[in-house]
Amino acid sequence: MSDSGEGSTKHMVPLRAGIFRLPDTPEGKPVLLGSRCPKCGAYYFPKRHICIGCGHDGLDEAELSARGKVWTYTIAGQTPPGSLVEAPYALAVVELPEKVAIRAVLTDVDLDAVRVGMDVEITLAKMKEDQDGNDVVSYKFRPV
Amino acid sequence: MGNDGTRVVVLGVGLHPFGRFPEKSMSDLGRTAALEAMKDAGVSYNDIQAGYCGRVVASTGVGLNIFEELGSTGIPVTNVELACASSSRAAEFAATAIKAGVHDMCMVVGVEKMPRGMLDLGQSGGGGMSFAGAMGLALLPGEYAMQARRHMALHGSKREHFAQVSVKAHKNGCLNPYAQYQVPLSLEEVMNSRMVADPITLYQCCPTSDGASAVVLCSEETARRYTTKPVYLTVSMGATPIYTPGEVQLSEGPTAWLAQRVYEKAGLGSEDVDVAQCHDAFTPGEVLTVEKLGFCKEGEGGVFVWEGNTEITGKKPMNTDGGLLSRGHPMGATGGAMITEIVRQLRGQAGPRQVANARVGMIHNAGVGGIQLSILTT
Ligand SMILES: [Zn+2]
Repeated sequence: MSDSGEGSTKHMVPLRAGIFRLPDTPEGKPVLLGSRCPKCGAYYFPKRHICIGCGHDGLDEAELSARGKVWTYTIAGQTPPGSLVEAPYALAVVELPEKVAIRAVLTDVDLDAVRVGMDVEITLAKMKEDQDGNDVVSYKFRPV
Repeated sequence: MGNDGTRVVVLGVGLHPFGRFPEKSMSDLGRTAALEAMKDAGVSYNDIQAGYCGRVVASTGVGLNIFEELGSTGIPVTNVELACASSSRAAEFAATAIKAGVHDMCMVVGVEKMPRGMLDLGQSGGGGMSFAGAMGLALLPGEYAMQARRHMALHGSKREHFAQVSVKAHKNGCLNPYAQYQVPLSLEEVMNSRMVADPITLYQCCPTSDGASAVVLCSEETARRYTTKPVYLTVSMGATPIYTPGEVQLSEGPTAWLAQRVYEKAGLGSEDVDVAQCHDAFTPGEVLTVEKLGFCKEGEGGVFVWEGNTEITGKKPMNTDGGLLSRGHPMGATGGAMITEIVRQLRGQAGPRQVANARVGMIHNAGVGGIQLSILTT
């Protein structure tokens, strides 16, 4: 029990594994993990097995850009069943330079100031704590 | 289903009223609609050679239970699921079997009893809370709202354009004794109701509903024994989204692309459509669909609706029975209800909702991830 001396060490736990890479520190940015077709270069998110563009089977995991633009959005006045966000909140489709669309909640944003075309970047978001007191984290986007 | 082979006639249509019927079973609803449709067609259950049931949340085998209550004649019965477009797709299957000469007369029953409240899109992950649900991303009105906000940003459509869809729907619902809501709503009431997902307020969302629909289909030759004024299901076709490299898409399917194919098969154009039903689960559904069906130019759907073109007395009357918004949306039953209204319109039996001289009707029904378009003619 050598590491039990100084109280509990809090860890970051991803809300779901395989969708994004955790940053090394709570101040860092998560990195979205999508797919890239080795044959035609098309990107996808979430990951898939077969390229819709060229039919190639066997796509590579690819890290996606941290920045994108709001393609469209809504200000939601209520939350879907089972959600860990609070209403009202900004829900957006963010277009990344790889031409993939990411559905994400916008954070650190004035809800009246959200616009189509707005520059945004990914940020780490604490969604809840698990039974052991660890931060369960995921991603949101925020204005640049 | 195209326009080759025998022509398919919609011989009978029927509904169980849409609304909330906690005291009734799924079989009660389906049986009522089926009996009404067979009576309307002038046929008995012994004439039905195959059964199809559109349903979504209803349990396994629900279609077989409903048809078994009508009789035990040995006919094949199949449950069909395409979310909110289930009974539209089931009607295509029935029509295709008739065209192929496999069956001569089929009945499609659509049925649903739905829990109250917002549909849970997040359950698909299986076993507890899904990632998208937990993240706040699985918001069904949000999908329509984001299409609307994109339309507002690109084309300058306004909140009141979307709200007007619901005002018109409820005005029509007041004229439909089968509708879940038969109360008028003013533009102010619609716009001032609780915000669900901007620009969609509560009164711009369809309700969850209980209800059933039934449609009897047969070959043109058989129909001659029963009617001198047949209404044809001329074309019914479905589609799923088409991948376009580098393009963000939110829609449930390639409606504009499919509309062109459907018009071509029917030998008609958008200008020939006299009355239409579209999937107005949320108000942007109508604004976006009038463009994709070619009733107005891209980007002009909001103004087109706002100026009254989709009213019963307008250029392209739409959702004359109140649509999903006011008639109600028991998912599995909706497609059959759309067919029912178009048939009543084309027969001249729509009473106070009647569109003058309606001869060509069009139906747009969207499921989660798929669409179905149909054209009916006299
Ligand atoms: Zn490829």
